[in-house]
Amino acid sequence: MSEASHREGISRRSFLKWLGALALLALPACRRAQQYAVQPEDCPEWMLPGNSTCFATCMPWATGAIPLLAVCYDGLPVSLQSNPAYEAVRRGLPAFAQASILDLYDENRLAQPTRAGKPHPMQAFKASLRAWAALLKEGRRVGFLFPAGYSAIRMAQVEALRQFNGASFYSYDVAAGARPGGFPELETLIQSSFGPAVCFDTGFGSLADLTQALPQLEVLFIFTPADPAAFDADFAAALQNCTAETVRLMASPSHADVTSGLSLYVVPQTHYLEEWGADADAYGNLCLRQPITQPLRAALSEAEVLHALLHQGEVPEAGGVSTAKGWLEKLVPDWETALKLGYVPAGAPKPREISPTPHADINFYLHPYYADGRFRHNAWLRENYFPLSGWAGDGEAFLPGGGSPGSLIMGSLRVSAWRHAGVKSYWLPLYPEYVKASVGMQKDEFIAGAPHAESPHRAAKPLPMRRVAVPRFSGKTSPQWGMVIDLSRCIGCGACTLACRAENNIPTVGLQEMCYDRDLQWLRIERYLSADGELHFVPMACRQCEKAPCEAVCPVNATTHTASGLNTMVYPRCWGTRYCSAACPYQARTFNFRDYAKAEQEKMSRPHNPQVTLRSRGVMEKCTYCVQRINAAENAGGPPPQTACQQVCPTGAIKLINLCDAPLPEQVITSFDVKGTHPRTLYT
Amino acid sequence: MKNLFNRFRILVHPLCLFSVVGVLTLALIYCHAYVPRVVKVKQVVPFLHATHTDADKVNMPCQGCHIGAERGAGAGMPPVSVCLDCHRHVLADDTRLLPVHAAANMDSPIYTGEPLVWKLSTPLPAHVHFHHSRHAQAGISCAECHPSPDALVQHTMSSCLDCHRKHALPTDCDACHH
Repeated sequence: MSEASHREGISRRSFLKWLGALALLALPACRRAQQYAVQPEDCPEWMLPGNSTCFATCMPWATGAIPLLAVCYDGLPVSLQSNPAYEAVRRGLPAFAQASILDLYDENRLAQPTRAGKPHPMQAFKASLRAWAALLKEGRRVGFLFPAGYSAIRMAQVEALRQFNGASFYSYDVAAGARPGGFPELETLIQSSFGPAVCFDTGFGSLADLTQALPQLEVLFIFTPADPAAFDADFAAALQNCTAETVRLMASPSHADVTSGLSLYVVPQTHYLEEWGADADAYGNLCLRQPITQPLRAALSEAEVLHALLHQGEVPEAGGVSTAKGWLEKLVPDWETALKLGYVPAGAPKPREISPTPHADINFYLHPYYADGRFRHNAWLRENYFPLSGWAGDGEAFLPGGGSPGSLIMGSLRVSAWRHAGVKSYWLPLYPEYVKASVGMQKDEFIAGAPHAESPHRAAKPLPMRRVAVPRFSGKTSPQWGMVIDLSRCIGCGACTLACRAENNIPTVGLQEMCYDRDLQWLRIERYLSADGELHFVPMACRQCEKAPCEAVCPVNATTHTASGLNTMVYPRCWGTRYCSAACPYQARTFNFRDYAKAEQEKMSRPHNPQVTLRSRGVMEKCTYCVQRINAAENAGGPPPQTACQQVCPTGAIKLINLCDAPLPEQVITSFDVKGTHPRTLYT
Repeated sequence: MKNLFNRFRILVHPLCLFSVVGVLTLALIYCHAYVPRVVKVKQVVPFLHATHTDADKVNMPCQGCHIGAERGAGAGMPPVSVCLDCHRHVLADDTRLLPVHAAANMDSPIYTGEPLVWKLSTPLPAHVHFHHSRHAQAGISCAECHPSPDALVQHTMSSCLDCHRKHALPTDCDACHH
C-alpha cells in the first residue's frame, strides 16, 4: 500500500475514483424526454386536438347487429360505447362487443393472404379474383358461404350474382342456432349479450346443403366468421376431399380456426370497424356500419370481394371502401341523417323467433363472453370475471348442486365449473372440442373434480341480513355526486367492468398475477349466496365515502376529498405504502404491483384514452366516478354526465346522480355498509 | 501511523457531505420545478411569433393557427398547409422556409411530404390534463398565460394555483389530475 504512494503518476485507486466521478457527466441527461407535435394535414375542422369524436356504427352478429358508438381520439377508435340514440330499442353494450375493439389492433391478425399455408401476395390474389369472375360468367359452379344474419348490401349483391347460373348461396353460424332452455339466469345473460334467439329468412341454403354440393363446386368462398369445419365433421371431411379452390376470409386474430387450415386461400378480412355495411338487428331496424379508420393492414371486405366478382375482378385500389358506400347510398333513404343516427328505424325485415330446445342431460350454451369460443383469445374478456360462475379465463361448466366451485373432467379435458342451485344437469360452453369430447359420453362418465388452483375464481360470500335505512348525505353546494345502484336490476353480465377497463386505461395483468388476486379492475361484481342457494350480484367499487378511512391514513395526502364529494386519487403523489387499501373496508383499491400499464402498452397497440393518466408501478388506483367525464360535462354544459359503467348497463342498474338535484330513493340497503364511512354509492 | 478514523471524522464528515449534497439537490429541484423558467428550443423552421402576431406586422390572431385554443382541450399546431397559404407567395425563396415547402408544397421541387415535426418546448407532464377551451371561454386572453410566445415560460403548478386561488376557483386535485 505504501509503495503505491512512491510510484510516479496516478495510482490505480485514484484512477478508478476519478473514472467513477466522471459519471456525473451524465447528469445533464437527467431530464424529461423531448416531446414533439405533428399535425396531420387533412384533419377535418371538427376534429379538435384532445377532443373525442364519436361515430355511430354497428357490430354484425348472427342473431342481429349491435349498434354502438366508436369513441375516437386523433382519428383512431379508443373505446366502444353504447349509442344513446338506440337506447329505446336496446340499452347498453354487451361485454363481448366492447372487447371486440382489441381485435382491430391485434398483432396476430393475418398480415397477408396465404395459399396452401405459404404467404401469397395480395396482388396475386386479386389476379385470381379476375379469373374467378370469368368462371362465374361462364356459368361454372361457385359457392358462397355467408354469415347468418341479414345484410342489405349482401342481399343486393346476391341479387346481382343470381344472374350467373352456377352461383349457389349458403349461410351458417353456430351462434344462430336454437338455445337450450332450463337455466333462466344463464338465458338472461345470453340474451343480454346476443339478443333473442332469432333466425333471418334469407333464402340461403344450410351447411348440410353445402356439404352435399361441395364435390361439384369449382370455387367456394367462405365469408362466415364461425368455424363450420370445427363443429360439423361431415363438412370438414367434404372440405378436405373436395377439388374446389376454397377461399376463406378471416378477420379474427384467433389461431384456432379449423376451417382456414382446410382452405386453400386464407385472406385477411377487414374488421367491422374498417368497413361499410348495413345489417338488420333483431327488432326490424337496419343498423348502418361505417369505417372508423382506414384498414390498418391490407385486407378485403366481403362486399369488396363480391363487387370484384361482379365487375370482372376489379378491386378499387384505395382500400376499396367506396364500393360498399356506393351500394349503401342507393339502398338507404336519407343517407346523411341515417348515418348520424346509426340505424334506420323499421328499415329491415323482422326475423322470426326460435323457441328454446328442451333441456337435456348435457346442454351446450353460447358463452356470453366467448360465444362459440371465437373470442377466447381476447385479453380483456379473459380477465373479466364472469359473475354467474365466478371464474375468469376460458369459459366454465355449470353443474347441479348448490353453490361451490369445482371442475368437470371429461376424458383429457378439464373445465372449471360452478355448482349452481336450480341447475338439473350439465351445462358446457358450446366450444367445438367440448362438443367433440362429449359425443357418445353418458352423463355419469363426467367426473366432478376439485376446483382448478391455477384459474382465478371469485368466491360467493354468504348474503348479509338485509337492512334498510333512509338515505342521508351532507354537503350543500351543488353538485354533490353520488351513485344509486339498483340491485334488483343487476343481472351480473359484467359489461360495466369491461367499460370501466376501456374508459380508465386499466391494464391487464396476466394469468399469474390474476391468481395472486392482483386484478386491477376498479369495479367488481360481488357474488352473494343466500341460504336457499340464490346468487345475488352486487357491483362494488370505491363508494366515495364522506368519512373515508383511506384519506385519513395516507402519509403523503395522495387521496383527498373534493368539495363535490368525490374522493380523489392523485397518482403522482402516491408513494405506494398501500396503507389506504388496508384501511378501505370495501376493498375498493387496487395496486400496481408491477409496471402493468407499460407492459401492456408495449404488447397492445390500442391507443389509450388520453383523458385518463396511465399509472406506473407503485401507484394505487380506484374508481373516480369517471371524474374525467364529470369535468367534460361541466366544460361542455350539455346533458348530465354518465359514468362508463352506467352507459353500458343493459338494465340501467347504475346511475350517477347529483344528490342536490336528483330525487333520492326512499330506502337504501345498508347491508354492505361499514359504520362510520357514510358512502355516497347507495344500493337499492 | 496516524489514526485516520477518529470518532469526529466518522460522524461529522459524512454528515457534512450528505447535508451539502442534500441541500444542493433540494435547490436544484426548486429551481427546476418551482421557479418559472424561460425555455428556448431550436425548431426545424426558425418561426418567430412576434413577426406573425405583432400589431404592426402580420397581426394574426392566435386562433388563426391554434384552432383548438377556443373549443378544444389542446390548442394544437396548425397543419403546414396553413403556413403555405401565405408563404407560397410571401418569402417564397427564403431558405429558412425550405422545410415548409418540403412538407406541403406539391409544386416545389424539394417536396417530400414528410410532415414538419415541432418540438414542444414547455409540455405539461402526462399526469396533468389542462383544458384550453374551459379557460378561453372563461374570458382569459391568450396573452395572460403566454405573454411572450417566443420566450415560453414553463408553467408550474404554483402558477396555476396562484390564479385559481386569487379568483376563488376550484383547487380540487381531480380538476386537473385524473
